[in-house]
Amino acid sequence: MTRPSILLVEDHKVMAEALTNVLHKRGNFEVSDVAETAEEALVCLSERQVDLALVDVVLPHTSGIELVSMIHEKYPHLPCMMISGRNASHYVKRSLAAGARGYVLKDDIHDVIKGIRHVLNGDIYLSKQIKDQNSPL
Amino acid sequence: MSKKNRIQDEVLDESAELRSRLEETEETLRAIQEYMVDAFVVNRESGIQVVTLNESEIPYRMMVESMNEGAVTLIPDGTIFYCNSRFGEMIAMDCEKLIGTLFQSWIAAEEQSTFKAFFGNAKQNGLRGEFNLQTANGKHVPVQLSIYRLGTDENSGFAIIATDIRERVEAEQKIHALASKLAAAEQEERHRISQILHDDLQQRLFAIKTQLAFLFLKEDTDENQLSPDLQSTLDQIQGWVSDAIHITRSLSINLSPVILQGEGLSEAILWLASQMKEQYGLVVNLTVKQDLHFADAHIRVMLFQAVREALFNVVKHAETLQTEVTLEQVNGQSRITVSDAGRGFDQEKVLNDPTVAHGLLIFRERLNLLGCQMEVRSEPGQGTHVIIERLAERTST
Repeated sequence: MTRPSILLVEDHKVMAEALTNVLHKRGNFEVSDVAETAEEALVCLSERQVDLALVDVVLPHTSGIELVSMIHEKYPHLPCMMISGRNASHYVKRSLAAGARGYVLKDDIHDVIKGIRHVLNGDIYLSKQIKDQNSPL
Repeated sequence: MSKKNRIQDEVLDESAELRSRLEETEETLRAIQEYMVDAFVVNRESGIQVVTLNESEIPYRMMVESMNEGAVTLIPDGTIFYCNSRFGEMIAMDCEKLIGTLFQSWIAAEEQSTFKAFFGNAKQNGLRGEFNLQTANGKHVPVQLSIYRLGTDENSGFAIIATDIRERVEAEQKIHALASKLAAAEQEERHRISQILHDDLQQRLFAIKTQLAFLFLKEDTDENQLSPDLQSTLDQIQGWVSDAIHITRSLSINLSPVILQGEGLSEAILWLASQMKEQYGLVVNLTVKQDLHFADAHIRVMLFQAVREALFNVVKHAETLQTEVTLEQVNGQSRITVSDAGRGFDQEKVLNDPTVAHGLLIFRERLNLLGCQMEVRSEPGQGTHVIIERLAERTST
């Protein structure tokens, strides 16, 4: 059975390596490309078709949210999920408005895997911590 | 004693008396010549009479004309009756032309209503205020005006002493500029450290936690390979990593809140309110009568930090978890008020003790350097009000 392919957009090499390793071994996903910037990600997408883009919110130059907006416009059927160390609700709102289908936190890898599965099934997925947040923003 | 000797003694006494009277007279004349006497009393048949010496006002006139301050007298309606040449220099106009004009007409247009109120409150004990004089050639001269009534009744005129404070204002502006640069340097450093914490250290901790989560599980299963003791140790390590992530996240956010970059102050304080609720359970009710915008981003950052310090103080000392924050414009000045109905304190005692009010005093000093003011009002059992104001900027040309 073919593993779902993922484009990982993460600018920190150590984190990208850890995620690639765990998503492959434990999530049964194929991280087909790792891009460190939004610009690299767009090149990867133009060269290879993937099932999902897992995008870090904070990236150098162009932000992850702006990247999702561009992907959503150019590849409207490609689901994007945000991954971040930040749970501020204004990031979540802006991400969803840009077209992201999910938002998960980096400190819970089990939840990241769960979120990818949900988004690949066509659902919208938010980490429990984000849903529980009663921020006024 | 022979008659001859007696006459000789009488002549000597008379001579001594005359000499003494002559010296006294010469001393009086010298005092009059040197303007040390304005008037003297003469005992005449018609009674005691005060005789005023002509030109006795000369030394006062000389003093007023040579002093470095502008001196002006006004009739009750505020019309200039007399001004010295220094005041004429300040306005860049001959004194003769200034006499008969309204003093208020030489106050900068935007300060005239304030001056009107100031003038209306002038009493015999005097008032001091800082204004800008509008010169005849359109420039502004910052001055301190000291005004007092010349008599006790309503028909009395006024005297005004105008002190040129350009040097002080320029020095203050330089201090504000330096303080602003210092705040900018500090903010850049905070941002740099915040980025290192978020972009590198935190990511490494996430990576460690990610790898640890599956380290001892058999591949493709959730079956545990560890003994209960080792599992307990692993759980403990994961807990410590989670704590480290939490600490670096909080530190990174507190050092340089992203919301402060290019956002209005009200949004930043709204964000701060959510953080205070999340971290300390403090309920911050924010009232925005007018949002506050500042051209200088460093002032916005400093005001934000001052509000945060005030909120921390509520959490630490007020024995309440309810507070009100109000943003408004009052008389053209930006005002932020942080109020609580907590236990309050003796402000005289606390604010004069640097070991107790260290944080607040440092913020007050730093805000002053940036042209802001912080006032703290508190009484035991009556809560605390921290009022932060951004003063209107003064211009000097």
